[in-house]
Amino acid sequence: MIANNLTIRDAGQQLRDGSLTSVAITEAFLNRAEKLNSVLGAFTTFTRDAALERAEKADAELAAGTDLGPLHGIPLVVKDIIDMEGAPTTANSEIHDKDPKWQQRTDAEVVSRLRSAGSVFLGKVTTSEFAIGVPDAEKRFLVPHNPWDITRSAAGSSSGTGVSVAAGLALGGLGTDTGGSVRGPSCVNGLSGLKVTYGRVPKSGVVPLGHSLDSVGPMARSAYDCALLLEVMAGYHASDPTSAKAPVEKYTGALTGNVEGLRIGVPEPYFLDHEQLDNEVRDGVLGAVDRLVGMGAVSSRFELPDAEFAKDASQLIMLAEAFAYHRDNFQKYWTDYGRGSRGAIGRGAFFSGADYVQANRFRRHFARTVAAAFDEYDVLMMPTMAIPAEVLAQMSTSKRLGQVSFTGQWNLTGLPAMSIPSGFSSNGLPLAVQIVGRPFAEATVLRVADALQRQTDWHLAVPPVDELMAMTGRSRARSAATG
Amino acid sequence: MTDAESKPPSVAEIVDAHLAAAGITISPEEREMYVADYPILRASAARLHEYGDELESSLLFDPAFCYGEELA
Repeated sequence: MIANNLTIRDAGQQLRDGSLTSVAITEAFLNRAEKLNSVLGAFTTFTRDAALERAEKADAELAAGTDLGPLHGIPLVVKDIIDMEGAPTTANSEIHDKDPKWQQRTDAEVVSRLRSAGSVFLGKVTTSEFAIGVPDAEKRFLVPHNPWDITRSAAGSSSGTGVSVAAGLALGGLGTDTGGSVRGPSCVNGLSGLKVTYGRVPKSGVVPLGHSLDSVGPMARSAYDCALLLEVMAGYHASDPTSAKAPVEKYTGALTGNVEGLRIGVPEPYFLDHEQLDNEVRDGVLGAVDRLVGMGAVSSRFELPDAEFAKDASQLIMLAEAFAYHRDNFQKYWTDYGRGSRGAIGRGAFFSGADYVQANRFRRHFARTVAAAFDEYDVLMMPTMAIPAEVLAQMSTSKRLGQVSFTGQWNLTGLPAMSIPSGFSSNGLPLAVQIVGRPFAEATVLRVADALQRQTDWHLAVPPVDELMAMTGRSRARSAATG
Repeated sequence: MTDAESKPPSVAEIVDAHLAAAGITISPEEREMYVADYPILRASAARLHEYGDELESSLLFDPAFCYGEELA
């Protein structure tokens, strides 16, 4: 029996002490995932045969003393806007059905790195269409559901990675984050997810949303697992000219549990006093800060002006860049896009070249403001999302336009930002806190997250998987959302 | 000048013009959504323009990429 809250770290130990095999984990996860997919809508493609073949090979290699490292034999999932050999890249879009080039792909550089490290890929998992918007139940793709409460959203856009790891269908996976798409699903599904510094992980082989904001990041149960994944994922590659040559650290080596003297800044206004912020979310953030202070960190609140404008600028840049990418297909295939994604990206038509330039000028201004804050602080902490998981049936593209966001600011500035669990709401939904660091300071962000997880066990909590299993056959995942 | 010429275009007309320029045809429901969205989107852009020339230029052009790092 494979524990629903097994971590990559624990699985690695068990694979090496002989108490577990990669085939056993892979088979158990695939069986569970295939059964639950009708309820959770997590997977777009299963790659069962290739996964079991790789798992068998991993077991044989480990038995023979060939150890490729901590990800050897570890079952992972890949968000379906990232290319992976042996599966199409659907981007959850009927648009990709029209072009044969998306049906057979070679590994994206980040997938290739994980494959070389011995990872086992169970399949491709759901994304919001082209990584934006709310799901459209009228299209051919399953709507992802939150395993903590299937009437609620799994958030986007890395929904499938969030759902599958939370529900014990994979040990970790890849997400992408342009305005919060790693952190949001990590938040509402109770996971740890790291949006890396812009350029930290190559994006070649990834369908773009906003090319100057996009990043590929790890999602897993613990910060430690994210560190294990990032050690393999990070580093320059010529296939992505925006990837950075900054040295890659031994991230797990930084996870000492020591936060003595760490300086935590809690920015105000906007992040803690916004009218849309849920009280339990706020309490979770302040509780996490207090816990770190109890471990020897020091914290203070400080004024960070223009956070709402930064959200506006981030959104404007994302929509303009996404619109540029999709414009031609919008002219030909507008109604083949889902209502949520076309509605969102289509807003890019209402911005001008001058708007885009001014948003980028503001971007530099805000980056300088934040950099000044990092003269005083080692990390900044704030909520990931303002509220716990939304009710799926109440989501709409228009509603989203007016919503507060605490994540896009860090895509605008390119900084690393991590979401980890900070407790549960009174109705049993995961809450989360966000930790932001200096450029390429993923090690510091992970160290803070790991220190908190040494004192808490929210990241190990599991949704009611047995109840979900009982629902299979009675329910279809495509049911709730409206465009 | 006639009344029709002096009257500023409605939001719906502006939305239609933007979408026509982009070559996109949408449903009446979607048009209604964009008519509601448009003032919000423009307000967000306008706030950024309020900074005017106090902001320094952004590096949308990357000399290192175009000339190579040694020459840039």
